[in-house]
Amino acid sequence: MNRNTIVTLNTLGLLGITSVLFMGVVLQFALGELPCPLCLLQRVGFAAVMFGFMLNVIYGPQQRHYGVILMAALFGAAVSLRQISLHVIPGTPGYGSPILGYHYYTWAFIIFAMTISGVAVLLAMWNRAWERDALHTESPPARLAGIGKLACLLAVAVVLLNVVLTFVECGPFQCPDNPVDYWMFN
Amino acid sequence: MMSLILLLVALAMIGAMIGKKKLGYGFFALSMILGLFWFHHHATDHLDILL
Repeated sequence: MNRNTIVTLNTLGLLGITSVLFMGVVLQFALGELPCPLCLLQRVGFAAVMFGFMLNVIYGPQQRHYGVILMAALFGAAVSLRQISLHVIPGTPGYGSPILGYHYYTWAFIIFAMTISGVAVLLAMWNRAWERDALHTESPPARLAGIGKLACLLAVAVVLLNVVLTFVECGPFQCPDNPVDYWMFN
Repeated sequence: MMSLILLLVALAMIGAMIGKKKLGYGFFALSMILGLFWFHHHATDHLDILL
């Protein structure tokens, strides 16, 4: 597998996680359910994973970028596992509506686990020649065009949308454990 | 607070896009540290469940 194919796979990864984060926003309004603090921390995990994929798209694949993705995915997986553990006891209601049989946090854990597995496969395909290429792409971003640029712009837009929505929901304060209305409109 | 963490990740992404990669790493590291602090805060919350 050559370097361009790996960059394409990273672009698809970036688009995939961007769509997951965007779907969270869509369902927030469609179902009228506000994200809880742990849900928002999972969104932070997704955004951080997107940052790692974006580095690979802009600067080319590098082991350090995969490290960023793994750190972010492990963070997100830990947060989602914590939330699963809160609702794992029989009789304890879940938070939010289930989507295709699973709650958001369960889906989040599955996606973070898939991300970690995907990065493991991509790292297994690592080619030593790319380390030399990495030295040349450390400073200014490689020429970014087409779907790569579109994916990066979409990713930034969706994360900024989440920044605004989170501020509208919680303001500069700690988010309530069980939010029922937006701080800004209250 | 939570919007600040997301904003830091957004700034990291923007930094990467404009060629300020090290700045991006800095914002990413800061967001992870704050995220872990906030996660620890929520993970040690009192649980209102009956066993």
